[in-house]
Amino acid sequence: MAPWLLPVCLVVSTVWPCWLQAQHVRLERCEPAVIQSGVATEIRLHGGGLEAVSLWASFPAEIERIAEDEPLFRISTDHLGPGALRVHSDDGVSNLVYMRVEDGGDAAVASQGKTSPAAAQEIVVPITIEGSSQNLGAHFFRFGVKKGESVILRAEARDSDFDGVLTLRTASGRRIAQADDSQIDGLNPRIHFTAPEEGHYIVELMDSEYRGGKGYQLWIEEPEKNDDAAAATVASPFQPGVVEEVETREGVLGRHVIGASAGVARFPLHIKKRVYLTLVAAARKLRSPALPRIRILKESGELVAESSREVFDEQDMQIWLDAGDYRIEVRDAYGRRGPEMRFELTMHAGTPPFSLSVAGQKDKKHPLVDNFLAVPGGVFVVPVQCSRKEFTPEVRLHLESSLACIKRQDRVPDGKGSAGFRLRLPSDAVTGTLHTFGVRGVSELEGSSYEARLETIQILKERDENSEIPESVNGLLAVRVMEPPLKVEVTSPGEIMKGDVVKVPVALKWEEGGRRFSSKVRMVGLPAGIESVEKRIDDKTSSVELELKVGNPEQAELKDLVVEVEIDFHRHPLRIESLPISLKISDKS
Amino acid sequence: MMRFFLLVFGLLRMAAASCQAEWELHPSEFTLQGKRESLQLIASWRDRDRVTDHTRGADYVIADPGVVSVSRGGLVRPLSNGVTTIQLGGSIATVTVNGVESPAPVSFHHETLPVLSRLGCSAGSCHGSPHGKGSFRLSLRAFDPGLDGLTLVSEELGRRTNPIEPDKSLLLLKPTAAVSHEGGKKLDKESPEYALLRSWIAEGAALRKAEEITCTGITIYPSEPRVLHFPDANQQFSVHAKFSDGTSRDVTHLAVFESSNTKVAEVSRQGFVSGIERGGVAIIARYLEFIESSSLTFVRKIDGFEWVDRKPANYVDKHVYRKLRQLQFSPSAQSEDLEFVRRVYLDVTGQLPSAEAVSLFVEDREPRKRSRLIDTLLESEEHASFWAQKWGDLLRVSKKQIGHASVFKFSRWLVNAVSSNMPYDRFAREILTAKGSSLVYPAANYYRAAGNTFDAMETSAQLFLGSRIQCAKCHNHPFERWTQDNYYGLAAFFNRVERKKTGKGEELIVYSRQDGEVSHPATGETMKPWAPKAGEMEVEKSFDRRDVFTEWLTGEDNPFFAQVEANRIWAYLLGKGIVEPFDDFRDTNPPSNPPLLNALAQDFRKSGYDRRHLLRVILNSNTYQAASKTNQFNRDDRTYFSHYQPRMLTAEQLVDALGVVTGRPMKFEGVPPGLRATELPAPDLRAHNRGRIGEVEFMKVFGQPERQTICECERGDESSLGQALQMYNGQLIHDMITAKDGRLHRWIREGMNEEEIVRKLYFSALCRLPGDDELALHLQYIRGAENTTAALEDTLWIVLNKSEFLFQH
Repeated sequence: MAPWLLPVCLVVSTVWPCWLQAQHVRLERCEPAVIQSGVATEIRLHGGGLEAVSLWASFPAEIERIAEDEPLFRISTDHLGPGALRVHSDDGVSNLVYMRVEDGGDAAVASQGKTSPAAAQEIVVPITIEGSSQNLGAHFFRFGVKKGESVILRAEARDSDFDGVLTLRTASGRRIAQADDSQIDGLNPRIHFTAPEEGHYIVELMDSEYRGGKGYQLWIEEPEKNDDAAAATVASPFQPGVVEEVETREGVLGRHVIGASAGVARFPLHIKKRVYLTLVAAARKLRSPALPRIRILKESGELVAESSREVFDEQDMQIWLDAGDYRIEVRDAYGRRGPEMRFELTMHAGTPPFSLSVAGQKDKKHPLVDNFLAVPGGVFVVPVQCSRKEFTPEVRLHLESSLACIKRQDRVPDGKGSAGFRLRLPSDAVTGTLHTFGVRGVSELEGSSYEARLETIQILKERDENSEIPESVNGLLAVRVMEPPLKVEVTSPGEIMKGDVVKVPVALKWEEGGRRFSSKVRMVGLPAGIESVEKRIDDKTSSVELELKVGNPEQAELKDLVVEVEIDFHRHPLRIESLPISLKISDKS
Repeated sequence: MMRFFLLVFGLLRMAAASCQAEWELHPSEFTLQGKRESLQLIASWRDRDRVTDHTRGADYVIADPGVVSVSRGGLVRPLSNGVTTIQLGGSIATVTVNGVESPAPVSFHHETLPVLSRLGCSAGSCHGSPHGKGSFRLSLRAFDPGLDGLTLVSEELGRRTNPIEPDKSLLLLKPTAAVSHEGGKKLDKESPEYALLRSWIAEGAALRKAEEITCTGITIYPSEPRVLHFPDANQQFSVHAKFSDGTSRDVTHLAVFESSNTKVAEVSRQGFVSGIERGGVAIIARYLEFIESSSLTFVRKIDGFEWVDRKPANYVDKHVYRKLRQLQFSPSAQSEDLEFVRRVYLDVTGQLPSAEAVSLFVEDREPRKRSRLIDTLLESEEHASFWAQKWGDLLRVSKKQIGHASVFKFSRWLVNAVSSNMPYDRFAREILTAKGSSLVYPAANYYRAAGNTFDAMETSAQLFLGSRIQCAKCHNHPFERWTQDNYYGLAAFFNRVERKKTGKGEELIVYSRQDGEVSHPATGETMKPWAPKAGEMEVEKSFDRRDVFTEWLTGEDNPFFAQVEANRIWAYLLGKGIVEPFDDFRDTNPPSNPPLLNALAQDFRKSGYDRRHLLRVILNSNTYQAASKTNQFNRDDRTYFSHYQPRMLTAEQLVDALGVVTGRPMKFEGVPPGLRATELPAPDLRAHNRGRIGEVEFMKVFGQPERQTICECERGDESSLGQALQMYNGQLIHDMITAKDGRLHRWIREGMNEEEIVRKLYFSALCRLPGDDELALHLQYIRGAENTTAALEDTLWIVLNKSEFLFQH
């Protein structure tokens, strides 16, 4: 070995962990995704950058990390229903993943680790089991039946896009049957089994693509019971040719079928006052193959509007409707008809004429802007999107938080579709803590006041379309208080002349041995008449000069000017400000 | 007394047979119209079952030599109008000659173009290529006469055909090499072809007239299969064309002849076949767009060969033995148990048998143990996965072709189809008529990979009819009966299939419209659905045309459906199809044993298209169970299944075998740990990773297909330097051999002695124990080494690099 290689290797091995291992904190799933209320359950998180994370839950829970080198936690809660988890560390804040807490009453919960025929979970039929799929594997259950007894095995997704595959084996492991999708249940598997011999049989359940953490429900039941259920389903809300008169209000209008004779479902609609209406026809959630298409017609039959011609299993349309009588028609995009062409029609009316959200990002590799980083006393910016429905006035933004943040910029200007809601953390915020908050928008028009909370449910659904997203996390944003990784030092030029171009030296004092990031450096708080261009620097550059182009500002002296360094911190922006500087401006003459 | 009667009966039979020996002239009656016509006589000596061709050199006796002349080659030319007979022995042919005084003008369509085709001018390698040669472009094999007429008469300022000075026409100057011709000399000035072309030009280079008669078909003689024995292994062929006015002409001098296997026999331009080697061959004759073929078998007496009767295990052996006996190949002996057990495991399940399974099988004294093992293996999950993988290759089940989620669904559907032994006709129907969501009905992914009308039609034809029909999209198929009309007629079955994305992941809805027609690109004519032998079909508007196609495909009138699958199964088991390549059924590629293929197909159909039944029949035959070791009388056979032909393990088989022997199975991305290579649903499940660019993928090196085409040929079966390097120095082999948690190191840790380890390695990899010499050599090396562990690793490396391990035999 060359003698110079040894020190190089030593340096590399010393430095390796801190700047190569650190990565963007990201959650892919939690296993299991279904836990039982009141029972301490071990959960394993999957994702990236999970080395030293703390776990946050959207519901009250006792959380304990049980392994230093693995993202293994023990969680105990009395909460029931869907919930969300997030993790955070010095490397940032993750996205949300979802889980469900069951009461364990009627349904059994799939045990973890039962991932081989030999370790199959013992069950007694009939039974309903809830669980979440094993990553790159299957869950095994073992049950006994007498000769000639029949059972129906079926599995469905539960708050996930689980696509089940059921395999039935003898106790010795020989495959008897396998079902992926069934003609009856669409994407859900179903096996009708009559035992040729008395004994034990093994059920193997996995996701079609071997994905883990997908919630499922498995039924093993007697055929009669299932047939009753099927009959009940047919007799339930799906009635061909259902016609209801509805007032404009919010809610589910009902579940219907596209009648076999007409090939269309029709609904009369009476509007008392001009209103903004959202109509949604959804089929897939009912496991229906229908691809709905909506049309709104006047009573005279004149077409008012129709939904997109694209083929989707959930169609929505938004429209302002004047007072009057209308007819809603729902058809299948391919003209199919019959009892299996089911859909659910929902309508929302009278919602505020604007809505607030944050920008969506479907690609799960990129963080969603529903979480933020800030240093104590530092600034963070919530990029608020404002969707207007023919409504132009300014929208004022309000913070809903227990943190005493200071608002720096708090409105979406007249007619604009977005704005940065600029907030400053209190300087006594404790580093390493995660705080949740919400945003509310208020506006007035012609003496009426309108108000809307910032909502994130839509973008969360876009990313995890099959998950059951708890309402409690809708609009719930999070900010983590970070230790500043650098100090920003600015040398003030003191006095500048109108018409001059002045260079302001800025030095970035990075923490010794810490990881560096590429950054944007900018001057904040400049009045009209003075311009400064933002500079981008890489992680190896520690000093930069910002140019000030001094025009003809009104002010003779500028106070509280700061230089803001926006670090690209594992794909999250983290802003660090310099101490304020002052400038005197004088005329050349 | 009985003996006496038998003797008399035998003598009477011999006398009757000798009486049957006779000369035969073909045709027995013919009319020659005009001076340019000729007749190719075929003179055969028929003695009991044996027929010998004596066309050349026969002593023909002409009753009236003023009417016709006969050459030594049996070519009859007219001299004057009249009727005469030609006699050979007791056989007589009557020839009538008319119109000698007023010959008809040369037909551009029926004479000029066939001559250009016969000379090779309109071949794909010459002026028939899409861009022609030297600015002279003819349609491929005179497929487009109108365009050819324009090219010959009007292009190049009319220099190609000069009616005023015919000899100065480029059409004659170039092929006679009177002026520079890149293709060299193709035509003699004295040849009849030259005379014909010159006459056509001199007569004004007239093109086809609207009222001209059309050719309706051709016949070839002899059309029935013939067996020819060396040294009389020659056969003259003749071709007659039938025309729309009811007349018939000898067009032997205008037809093109080809041999399907020039190693077995060659055919001259005049249609004279000369045998070269033992074997079967098809002789194909083409005139205009018509093709006919005839098959010949050449037999040579082999010194010392004596057929020893063997008891056939089933009808497979009967047909194979009949062929072998005829060609004088001697079948190899029955394989040893150890050879058989390794082979049948690999063929049926893709896996090496475990040492325990081998021992149990060898120790079993039950006479039907092979048959029982075959039944057990055919019921195994491994069989379903392995054989589903073969269909995965053909149906292009890959992420790139059908998407990630569909890969799992479609391959699982295939596994279940094999596992439940879905009848083959139902299997084809479910695929071809698939409709609905590609996620709910995985077979609908067939129409995702075959993403348009023509792809769907070509894929269906190749998979289920064994026809590579692609060429006919642009021109009549050069080697087959397929015409462009047939191509678009067949496409009409698939033209109404629609595919629509739902926007929900990769889900695709496949459905069939009730309208939409295919137009012929050349004529613009709307094409009706057409199927071979069934012709054009009328389909009601409300019917899905695919249902009609599938009904015909799987019906009794279509012989190809059963033959193609029977041949495919045969090829998978024996390493070579009876038709080879096994998805290329055509006249120019005849089966090596037609009765065998017919018998298999018939049995397959009768069994209700039960693939497992057919597998069982073949696996239980002596032919399949023959040793791979050859004998003196079958060493040269690569075609007639006289012995089992060793072949290299497929990439997946090899990886699994390596995993079994080393105890360190390969891990694959995106599937559960422990899943075998032969169970992989697709070859491209590995996520893209820039860091891996340039990394060698072991299975790709060993021929794992990308599944981008439906051709089985995408799976490479050739050995390469890359494979040798992988086996010698590759990372995978190194890691498997040196793995501390592998079997070898476990045995070392357990204190097993070297001899036992060597024995175990041999038994698990090769299904046999090492010979004394082999064992001694290994032990000498191991015991002499400084590092015993390294020496044992070397021993494992040696075993893995033995051809015996890498091959299935």
